[in-house]
Amino acid sequence: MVFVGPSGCGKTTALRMVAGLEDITEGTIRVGDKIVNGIDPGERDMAMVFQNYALYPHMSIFENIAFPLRARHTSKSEVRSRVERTAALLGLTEYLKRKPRTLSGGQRQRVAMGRAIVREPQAFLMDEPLSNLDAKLRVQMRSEISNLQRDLGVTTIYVTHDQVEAMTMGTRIAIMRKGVLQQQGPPQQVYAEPANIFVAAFIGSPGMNFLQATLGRDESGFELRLPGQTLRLSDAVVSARPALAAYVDRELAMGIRPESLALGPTGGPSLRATVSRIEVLGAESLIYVTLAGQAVVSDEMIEAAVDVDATAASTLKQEAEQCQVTLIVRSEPDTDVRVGDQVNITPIQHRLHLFDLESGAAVTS
Amino acid sequence: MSVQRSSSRLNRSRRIQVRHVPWLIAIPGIVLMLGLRFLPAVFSAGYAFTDWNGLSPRASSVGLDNFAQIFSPSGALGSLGNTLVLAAILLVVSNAAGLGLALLLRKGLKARNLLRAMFFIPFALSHLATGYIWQFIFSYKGPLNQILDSLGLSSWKHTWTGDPKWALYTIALVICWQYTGLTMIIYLAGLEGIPEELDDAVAVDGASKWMKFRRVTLPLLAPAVTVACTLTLIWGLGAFDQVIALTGGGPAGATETLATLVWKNTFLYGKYGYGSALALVLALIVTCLAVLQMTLLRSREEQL
Repeated sequence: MVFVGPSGCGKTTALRMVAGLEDITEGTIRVGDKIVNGIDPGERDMAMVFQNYALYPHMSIFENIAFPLRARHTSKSEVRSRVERTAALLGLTEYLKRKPRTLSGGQRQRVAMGRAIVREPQAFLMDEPLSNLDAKLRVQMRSEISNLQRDLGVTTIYVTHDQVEAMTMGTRIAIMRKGVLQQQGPPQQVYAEPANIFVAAFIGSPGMNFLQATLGRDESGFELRLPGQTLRLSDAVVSARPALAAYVDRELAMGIRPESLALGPTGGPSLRATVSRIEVLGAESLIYVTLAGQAVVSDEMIEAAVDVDATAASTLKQEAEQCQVTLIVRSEPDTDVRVGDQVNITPIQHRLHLFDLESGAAVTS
Repeated sequence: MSVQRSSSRLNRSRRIQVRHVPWLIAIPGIVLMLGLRFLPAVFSAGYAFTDWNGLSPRASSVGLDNFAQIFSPSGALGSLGNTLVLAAILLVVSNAAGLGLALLLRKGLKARNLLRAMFFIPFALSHLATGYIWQFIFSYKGPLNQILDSLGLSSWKHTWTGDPKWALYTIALVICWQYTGLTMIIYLAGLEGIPEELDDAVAVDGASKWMKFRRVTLPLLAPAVTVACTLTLIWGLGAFDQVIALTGGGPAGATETLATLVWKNTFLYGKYGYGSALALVLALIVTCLAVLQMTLLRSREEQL
């Protein structure tokens, strides 16, 4: 299980509550069938890996890993054999006599893992364990932790603000915002069926495209009305969302992921736009297209944008003032469009998302 | 070629000049320090081998006689013992109490800042002045005996500072009271330096309070322990103000320390030579013990 969300969303606090380091005001926490609310952290049979590793600086690596065992009065021979086994598993055998300060970040990270593993606990709690590592090491450790978790088969709660870590490592992910759980489920499900506009905007890189549109209805069905153009909705989209009828002549937010937009006329209903920027990434190209329309500017959108980078939020506000929207289209790398070209973009209709503008919730049943 | 060589010589001389700048800045300070602190001490040490009385224009050499007298049965061995007892009590009590208070007042308690200030105040006040206040408290008609009276413990009453059995311990109590505030501050600073996430790690690892203290807190406090122990040892060996205020060294020399003896011989008894010899012995004891202690404690720190 991975807790993910922007900084300050309460994911670390939630983890610390599970660990028993933070008091909880209501509700129950269970390990197996046992309610552990009033139980000391050390008695909960959970091991934690901290963001800054929290290794004991004056102890050798051996003693660091052995500490939780010694706290439980494990016999000396048992301590030795378990620490050595754990060290071998993590490739730390040759460092056992060293002090933490002589180790690299990645090695310290492994020691912190070792201290957790050696206890053979019921659950691992990991608080952004990779955030202090450089990008390359992070990718390596990501797969090491995933493999280890699979091999040991121990329930793990993993906190991160990095959605790539969340998507790649989680069997299930929980997206949090301002202390409130937004959605939880398998990563692919959360990605494909976001419960609200915040989850939709937060998960995915580059993020989902949004624009405001008015829902219209005529004798042949529903359509989304934008300044100067309309987008007809397929019957499948409408029949999957019975609640849509209540939104006729109201504004709602349309969301579509970059890979669900196709360039050029592909037969379906499409929108006209102007190419404003092209980013060639090798395996794919990101085509930025601009069209007249109203950007979705809500607190959730700004918060999700700030998490990407600080300028993204101001770009969003700027676009809203100029009444234009930039959409990103993920396309083949050998596309022949040029900046300034007029293009047709066709959304894959069954991957279209519609959200209530006020509540931010997805319009479904 | 020659141009190059001369420019390189110029560079070298400039480098030398740059290297000398810190020394040039430091020299006035060093001269003052040596002149005002160390030279008088060294000159004074010279008198330790004479019978100078502090006033007469002549002093004749007596060799090691002064030192022989110090270590003779009628000499300063009693004072040396008192000094070591005071230093030992101060070292143990003020460090244990200071560490205990620091652990208690680290966090949690609402009034901790007020309490920290209260415990520190005795150190900040004039030691001589508070010494006289304590003398009043310990006097036969003083508050301590009055409290004992009111508790029905009249048989426990003493002239605390006048009883050879008790006088030294009353002094020990007062200097411990005075210096515990400072050791507390040193240990609080040391505790601040221990990362908070280690508290969490210890809690999750399930260590008991005692194991946490012995295996994590105390080893990480090693630098603070070195500082606090060295300072209290030096102050304990040099105890003077409190002795003068409380007992003046009496009764019958029962609370005489090396420091009070130095002062008395040098300035009251007109035995400047003997006083200098005592001062030299005291300085050597302080230096040896402090260096020994620091070496021992530092070796623990190096394991960090």
